[in-house]
Amino acid sequence: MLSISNMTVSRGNNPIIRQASAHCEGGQVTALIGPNGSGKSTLLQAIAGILPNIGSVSIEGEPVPDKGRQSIITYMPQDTGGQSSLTLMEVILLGQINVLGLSIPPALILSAEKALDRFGLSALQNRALDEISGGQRQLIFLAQALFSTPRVLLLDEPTAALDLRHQMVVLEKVRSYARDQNIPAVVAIHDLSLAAQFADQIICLENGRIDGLGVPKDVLTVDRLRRLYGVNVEIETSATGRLRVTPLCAIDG
Amino acid sequence: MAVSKSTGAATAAPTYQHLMVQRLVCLVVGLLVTCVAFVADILTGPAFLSVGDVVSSLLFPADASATTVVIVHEIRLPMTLMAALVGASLGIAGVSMQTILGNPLASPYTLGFSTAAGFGASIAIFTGISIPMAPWLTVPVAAFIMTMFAAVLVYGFAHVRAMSSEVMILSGIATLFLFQSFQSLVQYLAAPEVLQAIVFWLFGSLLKASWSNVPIVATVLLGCVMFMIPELWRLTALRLGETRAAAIGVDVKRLRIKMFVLIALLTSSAVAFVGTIGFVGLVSPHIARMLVGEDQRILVPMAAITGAFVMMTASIASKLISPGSVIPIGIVTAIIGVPFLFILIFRNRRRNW
Repeated sequence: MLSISNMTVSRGNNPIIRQASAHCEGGQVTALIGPNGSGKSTLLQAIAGILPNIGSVSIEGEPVPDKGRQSIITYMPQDTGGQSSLTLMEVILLGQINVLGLSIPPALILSAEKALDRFGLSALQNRALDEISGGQRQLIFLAQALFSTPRVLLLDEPTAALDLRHQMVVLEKVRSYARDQNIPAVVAIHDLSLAAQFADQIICLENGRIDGLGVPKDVLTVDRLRRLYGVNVEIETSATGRLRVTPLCAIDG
Repeated sequence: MAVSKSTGAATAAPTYQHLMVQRLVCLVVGLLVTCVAFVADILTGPAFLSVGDVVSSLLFPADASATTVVIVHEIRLPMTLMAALVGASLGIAGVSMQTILGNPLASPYTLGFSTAAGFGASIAIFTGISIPMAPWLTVPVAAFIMTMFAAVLVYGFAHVRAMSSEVMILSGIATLFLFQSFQSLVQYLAAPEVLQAIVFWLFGSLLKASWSNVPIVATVLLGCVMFMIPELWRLTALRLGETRAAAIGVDVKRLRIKMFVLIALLTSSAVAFVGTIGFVGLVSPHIARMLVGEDQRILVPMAAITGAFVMMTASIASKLISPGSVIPIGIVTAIIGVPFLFILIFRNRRRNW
């Protein structure tokens, strides 16, 4: 279980995240939602220990200091284009950077090959990062994140700019990995229907504060979404109990 | 997946091991070609020597004629070694600079280090001061001190803003212009014969290479490489971008500071003895990257080899362009380096950065 308590992140004198506290259970997917600029990426980066913050993060009740937290908590940033000609195999291997030396243990290469294979990317292992599609790039970074055998998985908008199939593949992989390894996964996401479909829990951020936390049907309410996003929405529950959020129109002003 | 079929259609897709073997072969071939350039550089000069003379006097000095041994060991070998060492130092400094700044235009000169060295040398020549006991060290030491001063200046600026690459580049370029102005001022004030000496130093020349300064450059190079080895994977990770590197546990700020210090040492030791030799630090990393990719375990030695090769080829050219005299090598490096780079750019269809 991942616990965050009283986390505050400031840029200069401006608090970006204020007093955020939350729990995420192992084996469960938590969706982190909120309007642009509400602090989703900042919160994830603070939890990952790559942004200076006040507050504490603990795993299974044990506090984890910022320094060195990255070997336990894996954060996958939003894709920023991948301006590099590193090969996919090199990208995967970097997931285990602490094991890499002047030579690489053959067993590690073997398991990296398997990791690529699980994502259907083994034929592309010597391709450069800037030669593959955006969807494949997102997959390779997810594969890298999973290859680092995290105890907590934090993903920053992993489905942004992906086609339908890749959105499904990414979220299914995340969910099954979290379930199989019994680790908490936190996913920042804009698509509320997808959030409702894949998440066991939703954390809703507004202006750096946690505005709502709970199961999807409790957090995703017409009133809250209108207040947060300034949009009128329709929320339907299908026969199978699935929530669907349809934005109708932006509210003026 | 559709894309994967197209690559693996005829034969099984080459594995990572295949790629590594290819890259190692490339490295070894590069090393051999550089060895050929090494011998060729020693061969070139006003006194005619055969390949046999050179190789035998290098390997078995006792059997070679006294004249050949003097020409090879006392005159040409230090120059050639200096060319190789300076090229390797600038190659490594360049590739590291491009990596830590995430910028393909970066080179050891981007942060104003060479202009600072030039200014230091100009001041020493202008004032005529000299270090007692070792006057030959005066100009190099002045160049070195001023480079370190520039490094401290850039570091001071950048440190305030968490060593972000933009601030480093900006403060580096500001430092570059500052020292350029100082240097112009010294040149403006200098008497004609002093001015000539300054300009000659700024051109960059291997003629100052000797058995007393070659070991210094070699030691700095070796020392810096030793400190770099543990950072190679972290540098590779930095090519994924700052945030991704941080996310996999790289302390980006610490890495930048460490590499910054090593680059400053490599660059200043290289330029202190031979003057400002441009371009090698910019071009050899690119050539190396096109040949062996981004894995810094292979890229760094390849950049060193490429740097050494370009410098020695430039040295050969500088002796051949006008027989009987040696054109300062700084003038020739770009003339040699640009065609290499263009050939590779045209042959490579892939993006190279």
